[in-house]
Formats: sequence, C-alpha cells, structure tokens
Amino acid sequence: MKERSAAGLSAERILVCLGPSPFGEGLLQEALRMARSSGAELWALFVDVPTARLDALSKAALEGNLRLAEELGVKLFIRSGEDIAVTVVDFSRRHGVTRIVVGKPLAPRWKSLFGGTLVDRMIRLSGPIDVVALSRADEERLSRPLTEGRKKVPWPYLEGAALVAVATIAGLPFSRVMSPTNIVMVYLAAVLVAALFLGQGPSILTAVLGVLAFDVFMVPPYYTLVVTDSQYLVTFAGFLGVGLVVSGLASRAREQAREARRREEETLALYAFSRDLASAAGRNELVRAVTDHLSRTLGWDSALFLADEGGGVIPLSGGPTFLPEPIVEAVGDVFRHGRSRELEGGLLCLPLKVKGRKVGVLALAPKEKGRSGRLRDAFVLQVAQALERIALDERALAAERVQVREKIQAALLNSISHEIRTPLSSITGVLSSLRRGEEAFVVDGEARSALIETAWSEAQRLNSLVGNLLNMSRLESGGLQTAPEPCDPAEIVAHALALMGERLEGRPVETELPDETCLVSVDFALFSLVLVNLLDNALKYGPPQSPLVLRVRREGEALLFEVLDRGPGIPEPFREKVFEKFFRLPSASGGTGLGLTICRGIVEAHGGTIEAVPRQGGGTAMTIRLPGVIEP
Amino acid sequence: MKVEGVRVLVVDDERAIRRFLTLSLQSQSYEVFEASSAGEGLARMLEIRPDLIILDLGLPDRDGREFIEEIRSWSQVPLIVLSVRDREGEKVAALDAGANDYVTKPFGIGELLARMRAVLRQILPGQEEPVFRVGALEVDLPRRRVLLAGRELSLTPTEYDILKTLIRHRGKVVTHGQLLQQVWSDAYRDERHLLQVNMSNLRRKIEPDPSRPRYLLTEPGVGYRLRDEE
Repeated sequence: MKERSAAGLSAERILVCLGPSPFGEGLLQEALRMARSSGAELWALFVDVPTARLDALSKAALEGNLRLAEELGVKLFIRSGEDIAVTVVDFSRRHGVTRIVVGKPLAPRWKSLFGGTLVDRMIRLSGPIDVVALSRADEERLSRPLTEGRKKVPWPYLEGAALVAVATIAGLPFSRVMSPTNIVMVYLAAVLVAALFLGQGPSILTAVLGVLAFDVFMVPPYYTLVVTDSQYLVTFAGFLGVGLVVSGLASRAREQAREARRREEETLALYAFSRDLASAAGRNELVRAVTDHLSRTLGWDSALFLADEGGGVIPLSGGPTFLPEPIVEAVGDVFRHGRSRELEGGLLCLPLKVKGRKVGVLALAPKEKGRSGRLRDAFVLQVAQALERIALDERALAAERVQVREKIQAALLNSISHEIRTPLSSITGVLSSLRRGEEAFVVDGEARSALIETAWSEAQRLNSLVGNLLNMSRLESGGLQTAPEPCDPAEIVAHALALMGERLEGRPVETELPDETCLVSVDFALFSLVLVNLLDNALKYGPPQSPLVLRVRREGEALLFEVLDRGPGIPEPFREKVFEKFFRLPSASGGTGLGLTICRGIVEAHGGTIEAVPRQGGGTAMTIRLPGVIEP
Repeated sequence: MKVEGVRVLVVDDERAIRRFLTLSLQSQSYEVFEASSAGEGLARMLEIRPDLIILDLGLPDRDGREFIEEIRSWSQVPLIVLSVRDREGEKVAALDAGANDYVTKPFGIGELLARMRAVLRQILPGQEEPVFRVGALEVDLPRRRVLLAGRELSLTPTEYDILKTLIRHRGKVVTHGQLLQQVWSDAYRDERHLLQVNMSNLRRKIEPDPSRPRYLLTEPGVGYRLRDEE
C-alpha cells in the first residue's frame, strides 16, 4: 500500500477512533491534548459496521461524539467496514496518520473471532504506526514503539488450519462409534466457517486439510493416508467437491457484501460531497470542497477549470498546483472538444457539462487505479451542477447590483441636475447681458467686472462639482485609489485654501497649525478635497461674515483636522446620517448630499475617522482623526 | 518681456480651446498656429518652427508622454502641457519626459501667460540678475544672503540649496524628484519625507503665514514653484 505523506504540512497526524462509547468525550479531549502538545493535526474516524445494530442509547452517544468532534474543529471522517481494526489501519496508512488513539474498554462485538480485542488486532496490524489505547480513566496506556518491525503472518490460513484441528478434536470421540461418512459433516462445517469468515484461499486450504485429516484420523486404518476401503475415495472426492463449491459460493457472497459496502461508502461520500457543494457560497469555497472531497474519499488530487468569457478555461485558485503548463493547454483542448481524455501519467481530464453547455473541466490525478468510474461520473456531474448553480447565483447578484446602481443613478441625476443648472444659469446670464451690453444698454466698467466675477466663481463651483461627482463614482465602483505619501499638514491646508479661492468671497478663515514640524501620510490631492468640501459646507451653513476656523493639532500619535463654523449645528439624530449618500438636512437648501459621503470615503480610505461634533458656543466641529503621525 | 512675433503652436483636439487660446494669445501679440492631433502637430512643427508649444496630453492619436519624448529627441523647443485635473502621475511623467511646465484645465488665461513668460525667459535674451527679488523676499546669490522685509534669515545649507534650485527655475514647476536629485543626489530621488520636512521648515522661515504661502507654492502631487511675479 502506498504511504502518503502529510503533504509536508505537519509532521504528525493523530487519528482518534470514535464509536458509540459514552466516554467518547474524554477520549476526544485527551486526543486533543496530545495533538496540541506535540503540534500534531488531529483527525477523527468513525467506522460504521454495516452488520452491527445499535440501540437507541448507543446511537445517541455516537451522535454526541461525532457532533463534539465537529464542534472541536476536528476533521471528521466516516468509513464503513466489516472489520474496524483493518479499516482504521488501512485508513491511517492511506492518509499518513502517525498515531492512532482508541478507547480501551471496548464493546464485546468489537472482538474478532480469533484475533483478541480490537486494540490487540490494531497493534498487530499497525506496523510502524503508534497505537495508543486510553482506558476510561486515561491511566493505562498501551503503546507500540515506532521502531519495532514485524513479519507478516498469513493469519487466515493458520486460522483455517486451526479450524481443521478443532473439527478433528471434536470429531475424534465419535469416529470410533459412528460411520466416518457422518463425521465428514463436522469438517464440512469447518470449511463453511472458513469460507464465510476467512475468504476463498483459506477455505480451500481448509477443505484440502479437512480431507487429509479425515483420512488420517477418521478412516481406518487410522494415522495413515492409506485407505483400504476404496468406497472412501468417493467420500473424499465428494467432500472435496462440496468443500470447493461451498467456499466458492461463500466467497462470492463475501464479494457481494464487500461490493455492497463499497457502494454504501460511495453513496455516503457522494452524499457528503453534494451537501458540501450545496453549501459552498462561492467559487473558492466550491474549489476547496471539490479538492478536499476528492482527496479524502478517493485519494485523488484534482484541479478545477472554469469556462471564461473568451471561450477558454481558467484554472481556479485554491486547487493544488500540480499542473504544469502543457497540461493546462491539454485541458483547454478537452474543454473545446467536450470529450474526456487521459493524458500521459494517468491524468484524467473530464469536461463538465450542464444540459449540453460546457461549464469547465475537472482534472484528476488518480492515486490508484480501479476505483469505480460510476462514482467518478457522479462526482463530475455534481461538480458541474454546483458550478452552474454558482454561476446562476452570481448572475442573480449581478442583476440585483445593476438594479441598485440604476436606482442610485436616477437619484443622482435628479439631485445633481439642479446643482449643475444653478451655476450654469448664472454664467449664461452674465454672458447674455455682456453680449447685449454693447448694443442695448451700456454696462459700465464696474458692473461689467462684477458680472464677470460672478460668472468666474460660478464656473469654479461647477468645476468642483464635477470633481466631486467623479470621486463619488470612483468611491461607488471601488476605484478610489489613494496614493499616500508624507505630507506637511500646513501644505494641505494651504492647498485647500487656494482651491477655495474666490469662493470664500472674503470670509475670514483662521488657521491654526501645530508648533512643531510633523508629517502625515495622505494622498495630498484627495485629502485637500476633503478640507475643501468641509470648508464649502461651513461657508454655506454658517452665518455670513462669521469667521471659519481650520485647525490642525496633534493628539498623541494622531493628527486632528478640524473645520469649525458658527452655523445652526447638526441636530443629534442626524450627526451620523449626514455622512450618508444623498442625505440632506431638512433645513438645508440645495446641495447634492454627496460632499460628506465623499469626505468619509476618502478619510476612511486613509484609515482615519470623521465625525460631526457640536462646537462649544454653537456651530459644528467637523473632526478628522488620522492615525500615524510621522516624526521628522 | 517682448513677445511680439513669438511663434506659438497650440496642439489640442478641442476646437473651443484652440479658438479661445488663439484669440487670447493673438491679443497678446503672439503669433499663433493650431494643430488638432499629434500627427498634425509634428507636421506643423517642421513647417513653422515654433518658439513655444502648448500641448494637450489627451490627444486622440498619441500618448502625450511618448509624444513629448519624441519631440525631445530632436528639439529643445519650450513646451507647456495642458492637462485635466487629478492626473498628477501623468503630469510628473510629462515633466520627466521633458515638458517645461504644465497648466491644469480648466485654467485662467492669466496663469497660462505667466507660465509662458517664465518658460520663454530661458530662450529670450535677458540678464541673469545676481539678486532675486519677489515681494518682501530678497535672495543675494553671490553672498548667499536671504532677506525677508530687509531682515536677514538664517537658513540651513539644505534649505538654502532648495531655495537656490527653485530660483534657478523661477516661475516654473520643479518636481519632487528633480529637487531631491539636484539638492541631495540621484540616490535620494524617492526620499520624499526628507524634502517635505526641509520644505516645511523653509516655509516657516520665509513665509509670513505658512498656511497661505506667498512665495513657495505647492503643485499638488508634482512639486513646487517659486513665485516670480507679484
């Protein structure tokens, strides 16, 4: 059997075996402690024995144990198998488990026919894997050191021979009083038992040995192979024939049982797979579910490729990166032609189709041959359907987003058309009176320059409005990119005031700067825009002629920018709402309801905060707090 | 400065802008020529040999920066870039590619004329004065003395070098990279905070109100400009 390393993730992997034991919790906790102390990964395994019947109490205990394992974040596996020890050891080898932890007080049905308790059998089978048996009080531990090697013993054959011995001993007392032909039945029973429990080879051995033992011990002359009465030869032939037929039949029944169990295992795996796929929320989760399941249930590496818009396929992130470039090309080929293909090295490329539509390619690197193609096909179908579902989800989401965006755009257009028309009408008004001024009535020099001044400042307003709209659309689409660099706050203030320019219309602005030179990392142009927007608001809502204050000060490691006005202030219920898009104070006239939203977007993109605080003595203090002052 | 007969080539794909520039510049006695694309601009350059080019960066047929680099490969004609706001990266790239200055759209004609004069001062015969004066600021270059309203200021050697560099390019924008390169060295091209701190200190010394600078003007995202006209 192939040894699988734990992909280099963790040197140790501990497997705890769960069952319907009421002490499962203690076992899990102890295993968890063990895993933590050695930095190992902890997995849990429950072996479902199809023939075992559980009473209600055991079922509840089992469910409790499994639930607890999931709650503790232990990776849980379920396998079905007739022989728990074999299944556990087999699983452990396959998945690179280094230590097996089992509970010691075991239910009687876990004892096998000849092999002793489960723990004994596990230790015998485990080879280089440590087996740790925990008693109820966690006191007694049975452990096998790593180094002890062992020879492989053909146990079933020895057991077959033992069966013959038992039959001989059982038959001996009767051999002298009964006809030997009747005693053949005892040997036949032994062959039947061997066929049922040991497999075809051992049962044939049992039949042959049975014939010999019968000849030697039961047929006179005793203790020799010589037969005087030739009619016994017929008995021998009959016995051997019946024995072989029985062993054939029984082993076929065993085969069928095994097949049924395998099918059940597959159904279980498929069920778990479809459950995980159904709950996968996005492509990445889906990829994880697919690769995880395929490697867990089939032991296969896999990678998913999705159809892209250009008619090709793109590998999805999350899968293992075992695919070199030429294989990626081959995958593209498989996708285009829609036919599965096996590449050199056994890599299987299967096209994923839903209702005849190509949705992607699943590439599989089988670890072993001979697993059922039926299961593989079922997996492929599931993956294709899940992909389709996710694509539909995404389409629905996109449609919803478009709807929301359209609504916002409509609201935006309503709110800004007014804002654009206002300055535009002043400008056209000025231009029309200047045009007519030459002929109709004389506009004197002073009136003329006043008119031009108005048009100029209105044009400036229009320009800053366009800037705001641009930034808003960038914020909306997530395309607002800040390019922070060390800036002198004084320089930011200066630039903001310069941008305000004539819009201040002679309103005094008092500035306060920190005494010491310090720098702060911001996007200069965007951050100046924040101050411009705040100054604009202060200008609009403060009483005419009242001075504005623009203050920058340090507060520990943070730099505070404050814009203070003597306006009516913002009532408490609106202090948070003013930053929302399109929100305008009931008392406000005009405005797009975008300025503060943009401010907050930009400030938060810098890792800062902005809030509207009532100013002492009336008015509002818009306060921006930026972390991370840079000392010169 | 006499600008009569100075040939200006305006390369812009907006008809309204070309018309406005032509009328405005003609009224200042410049001789104005127009081109609406990079290709046409190139043809007209060869034909009329302009003394100054005004170039819009957003031309339909060429990337503005590439175009400047191509012009610079064979001509040192002064070149002023017209660009729309919030593309600082593009402005810096244009300046690094060899543009002499830039003006942001929308712009006032007064600003553009001042930039044109500053750029033309390089090529027109003029006297290099040993003392630079603007407003109350006076820098006596031979004596390394800086006076503000007649009072002598004490600058650190770095601060003085920054000022000297800006005076050499008076009225024109000097990018952060150019300043760092010329005052420190090539290796310091990206040490922005070094420049910021020194500039901040320099401003505190020569500006009466650092939040309303009169001499050392910031060109956001690009660099600095020393005012040379009141």
